[in-house]
Amino acid sequence: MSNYWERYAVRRISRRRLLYGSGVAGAGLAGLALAGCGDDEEAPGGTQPPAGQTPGASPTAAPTEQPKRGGEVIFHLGGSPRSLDPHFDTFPYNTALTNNVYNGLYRFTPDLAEIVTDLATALPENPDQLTWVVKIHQGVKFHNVDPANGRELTAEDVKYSIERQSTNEPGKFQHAYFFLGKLDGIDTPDKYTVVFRTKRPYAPMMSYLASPWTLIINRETVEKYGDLTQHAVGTGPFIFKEWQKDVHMKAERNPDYWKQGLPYVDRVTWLFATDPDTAATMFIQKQVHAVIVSQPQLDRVRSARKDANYKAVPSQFWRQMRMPPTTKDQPYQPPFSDPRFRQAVVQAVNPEQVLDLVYAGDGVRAFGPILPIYEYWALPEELPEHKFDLANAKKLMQAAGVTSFRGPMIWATNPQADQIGEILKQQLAQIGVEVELQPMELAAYYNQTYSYKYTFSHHVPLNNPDPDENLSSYFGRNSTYYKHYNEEIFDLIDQQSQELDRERRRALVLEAQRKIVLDFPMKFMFTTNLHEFTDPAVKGWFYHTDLYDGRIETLWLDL
Amino acid sequence: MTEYVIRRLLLAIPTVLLVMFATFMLLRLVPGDLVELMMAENPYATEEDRARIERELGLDKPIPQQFAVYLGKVLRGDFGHSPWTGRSVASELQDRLPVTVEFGFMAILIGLIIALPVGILSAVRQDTLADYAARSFAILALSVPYFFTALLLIVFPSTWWGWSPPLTYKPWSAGPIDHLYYYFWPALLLGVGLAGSVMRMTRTMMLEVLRQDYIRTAWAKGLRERAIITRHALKNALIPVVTIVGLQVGTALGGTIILESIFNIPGVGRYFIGAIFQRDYPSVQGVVLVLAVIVVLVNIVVDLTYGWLDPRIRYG
Amino acid sequence: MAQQERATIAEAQAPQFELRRQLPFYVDVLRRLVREKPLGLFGGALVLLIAILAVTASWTAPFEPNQLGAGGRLEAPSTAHFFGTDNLGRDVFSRIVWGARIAMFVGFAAVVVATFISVALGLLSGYFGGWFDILVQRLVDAFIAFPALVFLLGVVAVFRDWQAPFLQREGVFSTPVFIIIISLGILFGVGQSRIIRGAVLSVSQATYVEAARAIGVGHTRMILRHILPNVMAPIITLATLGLGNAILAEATLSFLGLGVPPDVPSWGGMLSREARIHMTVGWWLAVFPGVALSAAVFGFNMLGDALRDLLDPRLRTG
Repeated sequence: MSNYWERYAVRRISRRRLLYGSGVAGAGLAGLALAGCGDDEEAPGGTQPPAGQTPGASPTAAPTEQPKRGGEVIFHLGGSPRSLDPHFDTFPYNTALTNNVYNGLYRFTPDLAEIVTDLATALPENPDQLTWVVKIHQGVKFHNVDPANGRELTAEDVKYSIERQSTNEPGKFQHAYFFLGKLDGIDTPDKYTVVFRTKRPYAPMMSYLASPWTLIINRETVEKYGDLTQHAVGTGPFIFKEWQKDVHMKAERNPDYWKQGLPYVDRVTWLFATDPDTAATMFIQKQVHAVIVSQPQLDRVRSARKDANYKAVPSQFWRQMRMPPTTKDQPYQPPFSDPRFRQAVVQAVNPEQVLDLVYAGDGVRAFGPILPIYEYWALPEELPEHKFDLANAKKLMQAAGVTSFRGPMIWATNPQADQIGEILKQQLAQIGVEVELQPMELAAYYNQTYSYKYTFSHHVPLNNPDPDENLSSYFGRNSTYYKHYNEEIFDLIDQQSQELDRERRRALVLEAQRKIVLDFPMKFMFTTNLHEFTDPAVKGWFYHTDLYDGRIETLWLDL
Repeated sequence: MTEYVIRRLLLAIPTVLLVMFATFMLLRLVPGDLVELMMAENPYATEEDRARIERELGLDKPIPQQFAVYLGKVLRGDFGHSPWTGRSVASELQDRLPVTVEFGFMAILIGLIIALPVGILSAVRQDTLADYAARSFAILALSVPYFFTALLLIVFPSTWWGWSPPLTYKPWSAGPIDHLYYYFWPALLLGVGLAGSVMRMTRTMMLEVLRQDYIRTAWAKGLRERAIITRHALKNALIPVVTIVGLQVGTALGGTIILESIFNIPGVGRYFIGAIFQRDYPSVQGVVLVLAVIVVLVNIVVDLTYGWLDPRIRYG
Repeated sequence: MAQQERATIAEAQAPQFELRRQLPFYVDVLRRLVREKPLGLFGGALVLLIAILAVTASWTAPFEPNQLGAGGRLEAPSTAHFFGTDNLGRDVFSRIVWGARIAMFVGFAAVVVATFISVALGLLSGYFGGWFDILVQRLVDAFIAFPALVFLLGVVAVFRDWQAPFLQREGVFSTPVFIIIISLGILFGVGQSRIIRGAVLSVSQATYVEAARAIGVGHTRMILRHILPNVMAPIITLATLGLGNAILAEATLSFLGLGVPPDVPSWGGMLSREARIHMTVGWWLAVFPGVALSAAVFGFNMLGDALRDLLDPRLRTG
């Protein structure tokens, strides 16, 4: 059981919302250009790997190259962080900094193939299904900056941080759901041991401990300033220097970093630019070392910077088309009450066509609530009942006895979403379903969505490394992002969240997904590619597959 | 004169209050949006959470009461804190306002530099080719949307020639030339748009003034054209121009909203638009309040300048 | 009896006199436009072209504006597609033509609202005067001075997704369009009321108005018969200029994501959606809507300028 988590293919992402509903910031991918994160902590010629750690892959460091020290690396971020508090924010602009100022207990490798240790010395021990014992490194010091002044980090700090993260306060509970209500308590039997006790067997435990948001903060800083919105003092490879809103963030190398030899660069700067074309131009002009752009800017950047490293990675944001939410007291109304009608709607939608027209085919299909990029948990292929099949859709409409239907479709407006709406309208018209297009401004859209009263919508949810979040927040018993009333599915989801055995859990997750898909609450569509570029001088690092992981401690500049 | 200023200032107060209240109401007429946005960040937020958030943010009270509370705080200098970042609105405004004011000022200045000479030329050479060209240019400047040209400027030159306007903020400490050049291109785009109406106004006023008797007298006396224009015509023609420039402060401030996002300018416009979309009530209210006060003050100054330019106008 | 008859006769003659003066007056204006104002004429021609396109959209446009796959994806201009196609294969030329219709509709409706507001405010304020005038003028001052975009943003962002019960959910007669029209109307109307008020004031002081009042003509009749017809000149000028500004304002709102819904083809929408994202691979996506937009605003402004010069040279504030 203690080695259960060694090979854990999962992607964890925390809640966040699309801010860029307006045309100002343009591109429908919510302006997700951001600073990426680091490789695993093993650097050539550097650290002593703590006992029990599994070596991770270093995709970009050529084994023969010796890292050079010094220099300033400049990143582009698609926006300013809302605050610097790692516990209460949900934007990758935040973790770009916090992941380098703080450490967590564990982290994911950049390809999300495994969870490796950070502050912890080894993967946790499970003496029983409800207990997780984590040992942390000795001699880890906070930054030599007021008010921490270089004191050592202990198990008490871990307990303090996690308890702080698990709060019910409004506007502060973004990641509380990781552990709030799931833990019975956190004990610290000695200075370097933390014991988590859960109420029930809790399968998502590791992914949440390895989350880029589960960072160990400094108590004195919180006590001195009241919150961490503008201050960041941690144990990480870089010391926070300054944050000028809407302009830049700066950090400097931590000379006393507990991982000997790291980091390599002297300074880090993050420049903010919300407009995607501006971001692309900045990279072309060599004003930043790395950038993430979407399809419209791709050709321009590729042809202007043939020297850059480039990779296309499917985004964690994907698109789904929804039908009405249902609860016990609010079941499907006709014609939705007839599953044949719902299936007809699902089969009339052709996501490939949407992907081709709007994104030039630059993306990957989704077959269920979990994206195929999480190979271990996703449905391996599309269920035939879910596939685009216009002929069958028409037959089903006939069988259900529905000749025509008219209803509104809502979504958060942005240029691509608007185009998607238009295409869906034309696709559904072919089976006699007339959709009234109603794009809304983001805040208004949320208002409507949370009323759980709408006919059609199309939405951009975020997919997470842990299957539990993807399932329970949409289809679970207490789901809030969407509601779908089906006791069988509720039970399956509850079960998988308590199943610590990986293989068995996978079977449950797959079954839950099949049941969900075949209940036809939604059409699962696709995700689009993000295009990531780095300057050839950037070595030892490439963007993390999880956009929220901003660690760069292994990065060095080939100056 | 002082009496006039005081009277105007006093009259300004209810205006500003009205604007504040209108904003306040507008924001809250769509209830719960801020709360919903907050809830959307947590996949397991419940109805109780919603009620709790509303209570803690004071959003469950009736609107007039909320406004009274807000007003009380403002009078004490407390503009509130952003419910998202916890930062005080006052400090944000303090950081951003000078940036936007500088940007707007440069835009208006560039507008004047373009518009005045062109307007005068157009009037003096009325109905000639120069006049037609000038007027066409002025109206073209008004017609082409500045966000359109801004986008063209950002995208195409970098693709074709590897050049782009500066996209990173340069404070004064980075050198005055770099600092000013950073504002140059967006200010130019905005200024050209503003120039259109100033040019037309200048032309019209010059035309009217040039027909006056005293100008004919000057001609008769044998004064040269340049002397007539500068010494006699211009001063009188400038009066309504000053008014228009005063009005342009409002337009300029509005124009900064889009351009700040495209050119990476950390000003109030960008802050405002973000705040609206995030339903950050205190921030929106703070910005509107500051803008309203600025605009009212500028108006008063303009009217006073009016009086100074035209000795026939006296305020008593 | 005789006196009453005489009064009615005198009155009956007055409007007739004005009426006879009006028709040739406007024809005369047109004649002078053609003869003396080449720029205004050019503007007028542009406006006419756009109006024709707007009215005949269903016949002029070779394709349906929202038809997916009318052509290949992102095709350059050709004989089959004069202005090329966008990333959904829609024919850009057809969308421009239909966009003219929307531009005219929104512009026209906004101008109607604006005219109504400006005339109401200007008339009441200028005619009745007194404390009402002072109060209203102060409010108008504040409103004019306040950044227009801020007002628009606020109102449209907040109200556009409200479900007006008497409107459709999508298309041209939907709430967002309605909100845009109303808010543009208010924005322009309040500003323009100043000018109307000025004109009303100058007319109210004319001798024949005093004479009419001496006879005992009531307020309503006074306004309708004597004041209003002489205020037509600024109204027309402002309406023309307002149309141009309304079109530009809608484009700006579209750029911010607050314009007309996506299934309604509008130039501003085209710029903010297709052009914004794909213009680096399809210059025609940005150029044609941009030119159409600029041409329309240019035309209305030129025409408005010329009309102002012709109709009332005393008109100043612009």
